[in-house]
Amino acid sequence: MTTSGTDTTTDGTPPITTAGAETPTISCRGVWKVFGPHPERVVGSSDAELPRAELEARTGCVAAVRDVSFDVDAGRVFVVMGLSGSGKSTLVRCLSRLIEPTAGDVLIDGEDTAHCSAQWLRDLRRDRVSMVFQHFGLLPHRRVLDNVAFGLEVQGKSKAERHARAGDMLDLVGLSGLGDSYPDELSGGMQQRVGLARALANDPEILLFDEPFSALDPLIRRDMQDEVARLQRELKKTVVFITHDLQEALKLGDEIAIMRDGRFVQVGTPEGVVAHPVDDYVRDFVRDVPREHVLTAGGIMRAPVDNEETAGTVTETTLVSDLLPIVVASDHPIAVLDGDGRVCGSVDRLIVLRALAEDD
Amino acid sequence: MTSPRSLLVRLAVPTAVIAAFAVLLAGVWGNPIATWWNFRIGPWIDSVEEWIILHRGNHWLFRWGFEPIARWLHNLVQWDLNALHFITWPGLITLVVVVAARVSGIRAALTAGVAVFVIGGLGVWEPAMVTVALMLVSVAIVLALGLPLGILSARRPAFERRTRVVLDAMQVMPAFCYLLPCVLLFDIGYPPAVVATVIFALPAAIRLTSHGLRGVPDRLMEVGTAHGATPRQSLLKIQLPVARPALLLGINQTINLALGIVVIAALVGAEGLGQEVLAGLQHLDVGQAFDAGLAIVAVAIVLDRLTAGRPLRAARKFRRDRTPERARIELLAGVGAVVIAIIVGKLWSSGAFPTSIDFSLHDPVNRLVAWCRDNLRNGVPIIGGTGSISDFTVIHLLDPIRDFLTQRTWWEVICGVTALAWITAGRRVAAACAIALLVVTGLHADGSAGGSIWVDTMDTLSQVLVAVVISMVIALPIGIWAGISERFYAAIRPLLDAMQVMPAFVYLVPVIGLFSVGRVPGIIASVVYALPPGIRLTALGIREVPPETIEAARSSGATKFQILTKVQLPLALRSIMLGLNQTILMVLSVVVIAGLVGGGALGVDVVYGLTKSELGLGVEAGIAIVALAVVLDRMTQAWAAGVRGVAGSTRLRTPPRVIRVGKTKLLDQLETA
Ligand SMILES: Nc1ncnc2c1ncn2[C@@H]1O[C@H](COP(=O)(O)OP(=O)(O)OP(=O)(O)O)[C@@H](O)[C@H]1O
Ligand SMILES: [Mg+2]
Repeated sequence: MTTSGTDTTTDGTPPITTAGAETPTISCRGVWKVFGPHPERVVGSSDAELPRAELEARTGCVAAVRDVSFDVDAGRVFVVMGLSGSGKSTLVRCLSRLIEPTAGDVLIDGEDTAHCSAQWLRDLRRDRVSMVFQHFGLLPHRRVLDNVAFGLEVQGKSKAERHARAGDMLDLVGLSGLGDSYPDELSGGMQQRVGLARALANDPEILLFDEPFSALDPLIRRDMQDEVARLQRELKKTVVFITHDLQEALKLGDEIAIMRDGRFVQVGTPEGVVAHPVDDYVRDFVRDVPREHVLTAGGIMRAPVDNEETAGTVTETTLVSDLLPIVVASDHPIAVLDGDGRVCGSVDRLIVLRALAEDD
Repeated sequence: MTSPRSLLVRLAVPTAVIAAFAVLLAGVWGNPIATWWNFRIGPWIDSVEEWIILHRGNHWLFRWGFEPIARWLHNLVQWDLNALHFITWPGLITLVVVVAARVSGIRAALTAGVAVFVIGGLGVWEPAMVTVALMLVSVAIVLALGLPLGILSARRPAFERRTRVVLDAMQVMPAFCYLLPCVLLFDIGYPPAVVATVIFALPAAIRLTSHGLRGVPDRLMEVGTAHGATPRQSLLKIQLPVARPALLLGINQTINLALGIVVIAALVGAEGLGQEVLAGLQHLDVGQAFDAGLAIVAVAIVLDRLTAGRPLRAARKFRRDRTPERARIELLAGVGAVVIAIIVGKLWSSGAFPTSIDFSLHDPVNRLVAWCRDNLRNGVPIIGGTGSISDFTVIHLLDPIRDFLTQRTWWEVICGVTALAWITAGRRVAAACAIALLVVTGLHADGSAGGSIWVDTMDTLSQVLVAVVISMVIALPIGIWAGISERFYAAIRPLLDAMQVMPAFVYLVPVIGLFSVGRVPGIIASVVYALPPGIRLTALGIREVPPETIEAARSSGATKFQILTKVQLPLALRSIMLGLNQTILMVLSVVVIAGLVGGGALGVDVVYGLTKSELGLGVEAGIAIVALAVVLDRMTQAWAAGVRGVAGSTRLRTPPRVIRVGKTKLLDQLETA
């Protein structure tokens, strides 16, 4: 993880890779995607700063992604959030070059994906990057088992081998025994499990999710989120996850980027984004979040005061929801301990109340 | 926008231009039209024909070009015919049953088997085999060319754009127009029949293939790319299989189209069922034509069952239940059954269909026709009988319109049509109409009835207009009802499907029985033939109005009638306009067939040209039909395009009987298929 714990606004300046750190699995540098005639003319010009409607009126172009940079380290989950039309799908498709970016570089494991042969790209998509689609993308003419085995079939694996592997994947996502069904015979949630199994079948190092659960109803969505969280704990993939649901972002993301009109307006940890929204757009997003479930003692504490009388201790990572009964029950501040058990700050009722009342 | 003044301005330019145009036409070309305005197409064709007849034996173009092709086609058909004879009738029935059972399931197989048996029982086994052999060869060629070209045009938009004009032209032209040049180049017999069929059915095959492939959603194609599939893998593993139902439907439609033409090919000397119908019609032996007509329907049913495939659920069950051993056993059993049937057939009466099995309807039909003639022509209470209906139509509809059109000078008609086109459809359509009609005036062959091509064109136009109006008058209420009532729609859909499958020829038979010959039977046959698309597109237009829109109207208190007139009909207008367009094209496509039963005018000119070896006349009449088609097609297309509505977003130009205006319609068809 390269960005610091709190917030980093990006107005063109990417979070710089710390010197000496190993190469990030995914690295985007100044990626643009402009749809329309002569897209290259828009990139970097003054037109690019125009609001959407004006840009379209003047040049006939839509800038779906504007100058986006970010890194994702191996095994981390990077969530991109934004309203409909903010360019999320376009961005995630640029990563595996399903959409060719207009400008900028996409590096996978340090390898530049531009100027690569079609074969190299195909191998990348076959072996290293898988995608889960918003509309599931299941092939209606194939049984579930053959849907899951699709990627392996494309790679040219033998029938026995790919069916065995696909069967394992179905077990993994909890669909054992449904291999003979056809997609339209399954419920939405089950269909997306098939999509997930298919993405996992070729054991990719990177998983791209494009709003995979938006089409599902809330209960099933929660199930699926738990499922992804579980798989992520077990399999440790590098994940880019697109969503417009903040709860989902907070639940799954190690890092969250908020996108608006093609730009990242804020990148940070879930807590950083909730605690310190950079502008009204982001504040709107996080308004309805139950803050006590996101904020931690470490995030809201004040610096330790010497010789203060404290009534107890909590750790930095204690959620405010757990902290609340403690501060309510005590007249004195509570000390906050860091990972090594040293006091690094303290909290009291006032601090907690202020944090919950938001707006800093 | 529509203030009186701007309307004036809008009308001023067209009025001025057309007035100038009128002066030009009347002044320069004169009336009757100047003799120098003559394309001499007829004489030219005649001289080409003479040249070809003289040089057919020795010129390289024929020695190395057309003759080998003709010989090859002839041999293919002959070879098929021999094969059909070789396997004998029990063998053929068994083969059809086995194949249909494999492809479409047991019930379809039984229907197909019975249909083959009926063909024999009607006493037309031999001609039916010729028709089948012609079909096999034509369809094989159409699919061999059409599927790859369809794939190409789905994948290369540039190719699609470039071929669109050609395909449009091939489709709008009535099939008979191909027959003439085909006869010139390939002589009479099987080869021109096959070539004309291929030309007629090929555009549909290409379009339906391409349309089916394009119907595969982008998001599914993306799945292939995202998994690193090569373009070839994407085509084979995603695009083709997902489009499979649409492709099968396309093949099915292609076969139907081909059957329609193969039958018509009787006119150029290809034997077969068409010849039987034709002979029956020419000798007014309705019974003979009826038997052959029924056999054509039977052939259509057999071919349909052989290619229909299983419905979705059944197909899945079939695939799930099918183990490799079971597949092997089925194959062995099928081949075994066919071999045994062939042996039985060889032993029994040397393979010819036994004359003892005979359910020909020849005599009863002729008796019925005689009875109708004696009892229904006149003196039926209230309606007066078919004879009086016929007279009434002629006196009060056809003659006035024809007289009106023919008594105008040619330039009055052209200016009138152009003005109408300009006001209702815009400048470009007006220009196209003017040019098309001017072309007709440059045709100077004497029609078979002695009148000029121009007079015959006006005559045909009057018949077409009457047929179209009657069709729409019948189709609209039925279509509206079918659009509103789910029940009624479900009830008539099989009927509509059946009507669309039948070759136009078949409709003539009962019509002649009731109405004898003349213009009216021709019109009635055209109306019956052209009804399905009008009904279907009206119903679909109304059914496609989004339920939310109707709900919104209902919740603001609209009555059912108000919803119909204020919401559903306006929104369905575009679809209805397309229905009108299709109706016109269908009517035009059977002008020649109407000519066979006394429709006269251009239809008869073509038939005369074909059968009496007056190709010049036939070709000029054919060009005039195409010109009419251009005028009416362009105008109604423009009307449809100018209407806002729910349907008809895709302009999929389809020939008569392949009415598809969008994916929903394709799906609509898929349900019934
Ligand atoms: N192929 C294309 N051609 C032109 N414009 C496009 C194309 N694809 C996307 N756009 C435009 O780019 C913008 C971003 O689209 P994108 O699909 O990436 O948004 P999104 O954030 O994924 O929205 P949603 O949440 O609705 O999926 C949209 O305004 C869209 O209109
Ligand atoms: Mg999206």
